[in-house]
Amino acid sequence: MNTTPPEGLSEAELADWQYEHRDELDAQGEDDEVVEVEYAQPLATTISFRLPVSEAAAISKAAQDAGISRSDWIRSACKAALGERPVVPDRVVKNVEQVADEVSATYAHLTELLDTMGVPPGHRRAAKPSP
Amino acid sequence: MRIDYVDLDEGNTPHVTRHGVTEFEVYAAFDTKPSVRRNKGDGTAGYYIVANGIRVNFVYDAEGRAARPISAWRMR
Repeated sequence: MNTTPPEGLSEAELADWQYEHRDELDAQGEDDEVVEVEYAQPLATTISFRLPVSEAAAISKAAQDAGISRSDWIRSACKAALGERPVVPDRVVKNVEQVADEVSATYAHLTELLDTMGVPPGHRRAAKPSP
Repeated sequence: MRIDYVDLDEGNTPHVTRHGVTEFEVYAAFDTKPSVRRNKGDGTAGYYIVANGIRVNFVYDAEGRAARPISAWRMR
């Protein structure tokens, strides 16, 4: 049984060789070594496509204006077309988290100030519910 | 081995899909996070997965942590 391809084959030639020997390769199955593998979450791939230079330039500019990578911008547009949530870059998530932390700290500081001033809780205006 | 992405492009897609397995099926097969096997005695492109009834043979790019499919077929 020959399941070792000749050396120096191109990808296309190797593909042909593998397909021609698929019966031997499939039959060998259980004897083959299992390799320990870890997969990224989520697993990614690369999709390349051609477009007019003018459209590529417009996309690059739009991504730059939005402060995200061109890849994230294109993914966002594709996800929007698929009816999914747009891509939110980690940088933006971190900024929002930082603002939320600052608002919480300010609220705690103001509450402490009102306590110091002796304003009883019943005399404090209730926070407006978020919309 | 760690696989971060599946490398299908205009160079390898034609011969990966030549025998009736679609690009989508190749992605879906990897998405099941199947076991990886290595052909005995094959030092060139010996890795493969079997999932969803198809077999995908690939080369592994250790630097890029990428699985680059070479061929695929339906298991009989």
